[in-house]
Amino acid sequence: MNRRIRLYPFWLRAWHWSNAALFVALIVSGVSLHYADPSFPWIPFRIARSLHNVAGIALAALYVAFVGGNVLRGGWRQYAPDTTRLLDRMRRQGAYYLWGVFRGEAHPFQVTPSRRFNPLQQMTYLVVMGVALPLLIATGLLLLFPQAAPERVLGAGGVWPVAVAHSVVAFLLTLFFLGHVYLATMGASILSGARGMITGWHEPHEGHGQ
Amino acid sequence: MSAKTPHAIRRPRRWAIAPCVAGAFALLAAAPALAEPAPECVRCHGMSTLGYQDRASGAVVSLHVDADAYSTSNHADLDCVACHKAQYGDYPHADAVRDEDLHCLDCHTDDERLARFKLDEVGESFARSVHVTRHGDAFTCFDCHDAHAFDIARDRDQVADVVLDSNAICLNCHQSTETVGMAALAPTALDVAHAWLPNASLHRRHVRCLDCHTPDDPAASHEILAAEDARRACVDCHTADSALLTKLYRHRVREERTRAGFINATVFNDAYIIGMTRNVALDRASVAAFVAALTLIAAHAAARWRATRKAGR
Ligand code: HEC
Ligand code: HEC
Ligand code: HEC
Ligand code: HEC
Ligand code: HEC
Ligand code: HEC
Ligand code: HEC
Repeated sequence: MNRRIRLYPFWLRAWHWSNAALFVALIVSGVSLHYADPSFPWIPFRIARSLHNVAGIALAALYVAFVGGNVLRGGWRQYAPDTTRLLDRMRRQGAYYLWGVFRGEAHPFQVTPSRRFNPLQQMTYLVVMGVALPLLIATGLLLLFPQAAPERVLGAGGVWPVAVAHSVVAFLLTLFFLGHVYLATMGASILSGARGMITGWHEPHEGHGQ
Repeated sequence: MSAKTPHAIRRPRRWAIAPCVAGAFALLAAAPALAEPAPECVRCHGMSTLGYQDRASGAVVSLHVDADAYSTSNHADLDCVACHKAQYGDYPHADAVRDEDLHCLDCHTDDERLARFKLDEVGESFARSVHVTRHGDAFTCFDCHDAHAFDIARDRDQVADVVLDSNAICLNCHQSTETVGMAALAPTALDVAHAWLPNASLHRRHVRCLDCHTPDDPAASHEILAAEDARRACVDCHTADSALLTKLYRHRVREERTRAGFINATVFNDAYIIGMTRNVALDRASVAAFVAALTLIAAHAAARWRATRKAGR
């Protein structure tokens, strides 16, 4: 199992990096809008708004492309959870992150073209791509077209709960983003995860004949 | 009640207001609550088609007085001739009765019932507004407050309704197709003048013209500024310490102001205003979670680094 494996098709890599760039743009402009303050002009409000709108719409379009690509190319199978002893396998992966990695243990799950994700990754990505991102996009679109938001929700203006949901989900995804970037450094070398996502080739983990 | 108000902007008065008002009060005392405003006038002026064509401009001037709106207005209890000369009781109206010149403060100086509106401040700031500095006497309170319909004492708890009523007053002229009077002189290309403002229709429904076109001083509620002095900075409103707190929302903020947390969000629950409607508890929780995540990552990375160094040795 020491061979390099062809893991990420070109369309997926292109999606990944565009998505990453948009994520950064959205986080920066979103934080700047939320904490807008005349005495601390980070990004001018109207520019932040335009940037956020453009990047948000692009992210939504990319999401549609991503779902389409996965349906057409069968990538969705990566996300279909294998429920046999799922909790146990998630526990094993968690244990690796928490102490195995410090003892030089091998990754508990091998990466193969038909199963790119370890069980923890798979469940996280399923929630992120299947629940959080669609929610973020839906609430974002409602904020863009507030006339489509419910007029009133529980006696309060309808835009308000939409906005709170949008910022909470956006914040959780920012946390995911941090964790994702960090875990990407846990490949064979610090940069091999990122390199793999550029070249498409997965570099096998250490602990296998290094 | 003196006819000499602090606003020396009125034309010389042709008729003394004092006896008329005294008469009005006498009339009110004698016959409270008229079922319908002065039927003898409404007989003709209640007709929605009553009007005439102005010789000079050719425009049709309406003489209609909406009896329903009148009967719910602040002056519902006033007889028509409390303001208009009694001679209007005769028809055809004599030419000599024309050219009235009325001002709210003519009747309401030192009026305790209206103390909370601080009419003296209203009058002074009105006198400083562009409308008056450019058009002097020709512009009166009644150009904005329809003498036969206004109901300013009414309490409206929905901010959206306040905005709607307030802006309707300005749009009466600033979006009208009238060819006579003040309305004809008003700049009407509002969408051009406000093209810099995004989400225009949303702003129009949720923010008053006054919130941008008057100074922040609450005593200057009627001082309409020239266009170049109007508010343009987004972050004046879209920030935690928004100017709207002392303007549009001033009534609601009063007792809630000091409280933080969810209150901040729910007080203004009619609207979500980016940058302003923040939830203090959520904001704190998110900063805490962010710091915790970074700390965890840093600790994990440090431990990994030590582990690889040990293994390398
Ligand atoms: C028989 C119908 C009739 C009655 C009754 C009547 N009016 Fe008039 N009024 C008119 C007409 C027609 C005009 C427009 C022609 C004119 O100015 O004489 C007019 C004009 C006016 C104007 C002046 C409008 C302007 O801009 O010049 C006022 C003010 C007015 N009426 C008030 C009253 C009041 C107050 C009463 C009741 C005390 C009253 N009218 C009763 C028919 C009537
Ligand atoms: C609070 C004072 C007040 C009362 C009460 C009042 N009016 Fe007037 N009225 C005015 C003023 C001020 C104007 C001039 C408005 C302007 O400058 O545009 C006016 C104008 C008018 C006009 C001229 C057309 C117009 O609408 O501008 C008519 C007709 C008229 N009033 C009829 C009436 C009738 C009928 C009543 C009783 C139902 C009445 N008014 C009660 C203050 C009053
Ligand atoms: C001709 C004199 C006169 C003029 C001009 C006049 N008012 Fe009045 N106003 C009165 C009288 C008299 C009352 C009392 C009516 C009553 O007791 O119901 C009154 C009542 C009111 C009330 C209701 C007060 C309450 O507590 O119920 C308000 C508000 C008001 N006026 C505002 C205005 C404004 C604003 C203007 C100018 C746009 C104005 N008035 C012009 C005579 C006048
Ligand atoms: C350029 C138009 C305009 C003119 C002229 C004008 N007003 Fe107003 N006035 C308004 C508007 C708009 C409001 C509604 C404020 C709001 O949004 O609640 C208002 C509100 C008021 C109120 C309610 C109190 C408050 O602060 O909400 C009073 C009283 C009042 N006006 C009196 C007057 C008097 C007296 C004059 C003449 C000296 C006058 N107005 C002239 C536009 C005008
Ligand atoms: C009776 C008609 C009328 C009403 C009602 C009215 N305006 Fe005006 N307004 C005018 C006229 C006429 C001018 C033009 C002044 C000039 O330049 O000669 C003007 C000018 C202005 C200007 C200045 C534009 C410039 O060139 O600097 C502003 C701002 C303005 N109005 C805002 C408002 C607001 C806000 C309201 C509502 C509170 C309002 N107006 C209500 C007639 C009106
Ligand atoms: C968000 C702030 C804001 C709001 C809300 C707003 N304005 Fe303005 N308005 C401005 C600014 C800033 C300008 C100056 C634009 C320029 O000169 O480029 C302006 C310009 C104007 C002018 C001058 C137009 C001209 O052609 O000279 C008028 C009249 C006016 N506004 C009326 C209104 C009225 C009526 C409303 C309510 C329906 C309103 N504004 C709401 C900020 C605002
Ligand atoms: C006078 C205060 C004021 C100013 C100035 C102002 N806004 Fe707003 N803005 C508001 C209010 C109030 C709302 C809330 C609308 C609602 O209830 O949804 C809003 C809503 C918005 C929204 C829609 C947000 C949403 O999700 O509902 C955007 C985008 C926006 N403003 C951008 C701007 C930009 C960009 C500027 C400067 C060019 C600006 N605003 C200037 C008061 C203001």
